[in-house]
Amino acid sequence: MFIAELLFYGLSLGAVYSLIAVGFALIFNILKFSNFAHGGFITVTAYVGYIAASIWQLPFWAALLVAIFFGGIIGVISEFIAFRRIRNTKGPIIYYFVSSITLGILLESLIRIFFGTTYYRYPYDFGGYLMNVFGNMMWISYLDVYMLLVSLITLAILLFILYKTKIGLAIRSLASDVDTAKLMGVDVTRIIQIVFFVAGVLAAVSGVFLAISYNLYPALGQIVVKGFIASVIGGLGSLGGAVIGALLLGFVEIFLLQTIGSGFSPIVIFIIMLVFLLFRPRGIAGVYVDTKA
Amino acid sequence: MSTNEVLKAVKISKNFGGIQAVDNFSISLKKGEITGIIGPNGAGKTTIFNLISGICQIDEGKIFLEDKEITNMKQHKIARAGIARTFQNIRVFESLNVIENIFTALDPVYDYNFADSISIKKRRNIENEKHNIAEKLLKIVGLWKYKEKKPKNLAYGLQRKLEIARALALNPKVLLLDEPAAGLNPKEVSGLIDLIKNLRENYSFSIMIIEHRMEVILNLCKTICVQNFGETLAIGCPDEIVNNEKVIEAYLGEAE
Amino acid sequence: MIDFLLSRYFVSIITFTSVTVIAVIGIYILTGLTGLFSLGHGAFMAIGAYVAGVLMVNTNIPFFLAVIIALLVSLIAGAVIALPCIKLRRDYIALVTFGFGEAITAFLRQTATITGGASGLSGIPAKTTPVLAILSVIVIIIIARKFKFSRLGRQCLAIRNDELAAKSMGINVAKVKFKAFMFSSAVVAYAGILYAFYTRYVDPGMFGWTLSAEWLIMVFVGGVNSLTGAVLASVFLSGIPEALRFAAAWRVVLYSLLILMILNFRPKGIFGDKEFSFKHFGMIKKYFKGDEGNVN
Repeated sequence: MFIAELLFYGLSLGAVYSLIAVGFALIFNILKFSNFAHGGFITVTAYVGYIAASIWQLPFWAALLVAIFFGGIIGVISEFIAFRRIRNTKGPIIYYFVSSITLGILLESLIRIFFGTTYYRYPYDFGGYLMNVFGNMMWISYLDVYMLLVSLITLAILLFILYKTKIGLAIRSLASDVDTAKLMGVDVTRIIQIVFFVAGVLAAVSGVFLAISYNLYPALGQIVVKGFIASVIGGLGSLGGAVIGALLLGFVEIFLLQTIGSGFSPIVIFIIMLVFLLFRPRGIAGVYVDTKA
Repeated sequence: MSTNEVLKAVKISKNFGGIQAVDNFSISLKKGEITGIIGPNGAGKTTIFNLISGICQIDEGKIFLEDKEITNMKQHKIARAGIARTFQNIRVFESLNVIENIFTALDPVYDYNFADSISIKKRRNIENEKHNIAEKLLKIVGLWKYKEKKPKNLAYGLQRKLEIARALALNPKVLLLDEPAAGLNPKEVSGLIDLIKNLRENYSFSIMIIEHRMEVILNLCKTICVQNFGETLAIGCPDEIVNNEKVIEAYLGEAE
Repeated sequence: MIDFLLSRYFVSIITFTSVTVIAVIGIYILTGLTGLFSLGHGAFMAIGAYVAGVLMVNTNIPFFLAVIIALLVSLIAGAVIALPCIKLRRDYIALVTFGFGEAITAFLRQTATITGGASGLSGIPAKTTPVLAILSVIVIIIIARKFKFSRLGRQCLAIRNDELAAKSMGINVAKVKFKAFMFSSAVVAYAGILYAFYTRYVDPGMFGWTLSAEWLIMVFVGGVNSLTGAVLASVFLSGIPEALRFAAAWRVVLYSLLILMILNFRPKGIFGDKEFSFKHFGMIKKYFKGDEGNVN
């Protein structure tokens, strides 16, 4: 009953969070910085999906594909305008950081200007049904089922690409050591573009689903912080850890929402995160990167 | 500890995720002596420095500075206790000019707390003293005329000297130099050798040098320690080392 | 002319710009000097504003006492947050401070009985005069400058340049970071007090992470190393648009584009490393006096 519902909702929320966390962790692994613009990607693609859904009146799957396509493009463009030069001039990590925050703000502000702060709703109704679980009635919404399924499929595809294709191998080698990868003939720029494309795609999937679940508004992208928190809990530097952290976060958040309400949850989540960072900065699965002397 | 001994490392070890970077390393540094550490790349030499200066935690073993045990003390406390070092990749403070770089090492030593800082005269005296010491050190390395310049405007060799002068400002008992000749041209190298000889003559601290340039090692060191894959192959005076079979074997193809 | 100077419009520009300049100086101390990143310093502005505001609205204590209490509270909060931050790496500090900012905002929303909750705190007496604002700016600039050229300031810069080397030179990095953090939180809190006692109303939504990010951006535009740059950038980036208030939404877009351009083409910021000093006056004088005294 209660627990089963919590588990289910926690799982589907966690699944969406895991997309965000993985999108975030991917870029962190390759370029070693936290891409705060990811939130902007999420917001923009969510709005693009909305246009596809309500103005062009496309069915759900088509709108999702449109958003995904735009997400990838935005990712690639962002890499060019915000990070390319810093990488080429070997600027300090600080610059990536400031650049990504700025880009994120830019994207959110542009949305604000063109769409205002009204809440929009995707015009889809997924409905739901009552299900009998362990003798108790549980309300399953199709939306949550789709979120879970699509997230799992997306992650599976990503895993496949990373571990079973040449491109994936190149990406993973970049994550280990950029210079060695270059020496091995990897076209670093191309691979980084692909990584940003993928990050954009992930952002789009999470953006569309989040917008459908929570309504569409310019600050939607700030949810990327949850992705960051999830990555941290799971262990920065580990994709698997990001997923685990995200699932945990999903469960915890649903639980908190039920018990202490949305007012205090930011405080509790903050404390949990603090505890994690203080006592296990490695995260659950992660690798801790330290400076060499 | 004998009265001449400044630093003693007793079987210190460090393991990085399965790789034994330093294995049971022991050494005794004496006052006024220069000791060299040589060995192929990856032999763990810089790690030894990191263990002594507190950058890395020691897994096993102990280190003593004069009579005090300093094993796993905090980095900045070790520095204040009297162990100063330079780095393989020069780490001077870019935002500060030459003399300010020296001051950063002097500030902790010539610290005055809030009570003292109220007395303007006391403060001025301490600041003057710092200034005098900085002047002396910069003159020793020949950087006094560049005192207001930013490090990035100096030649590489001069930046190295700045790093050394800064280390000296800590008034150390042990000075660790990590590949001080790296990246220097022959003229700069002989200038460096002269500087180190100068230091040995005028100061009583112990110097330990990691180097690949054999002319530096052979010219300066009384004792040479050869490391390979974390283990000590040999310790002895230059003649012994140069003729040691194991050393020659390890160095095949590596000779400068 | 006098009319304009005394007009509410001009006064509000002066006041808002002063508030921003002071806050940005606070961020400069934290980020420009010490290299720590905070996305939650808006929370300290909130603390300053709310503590002083709540005290003045509900009690009869004199203004300066309320200010002192507010500053003390912000110092304590700063100390609490600084403790974990000084041990964590850069990205994590941003996250922790962000979380702190969100937590404070959520807290302010929940405590409606004292703070007015989401509808904000109103009825704060007007205490901030343009003279107070400008004097505050001048005093804080002087203090910041002294700090930068003091031992502590040197140590902060050393830490920012190379934390490892700083430790190896005997600097107690944790202690220095801690002091810098506390100092910056007090400065930002003071900006919050000036703000609250001018607008006479504050609500929790004003102090979010975008505020912190904006300040950070101003420090970068001015030149991360330069106090002068930070001050001028904040004057330029906040004062001018304040005068063009209709451009509010585009202002942020403009900032962001400006930053991206600077990061791409002049990453050291407009002023880079340079600081204003009085010898610049001498140079200007010489230039105008012509060639007399110049030896070629």
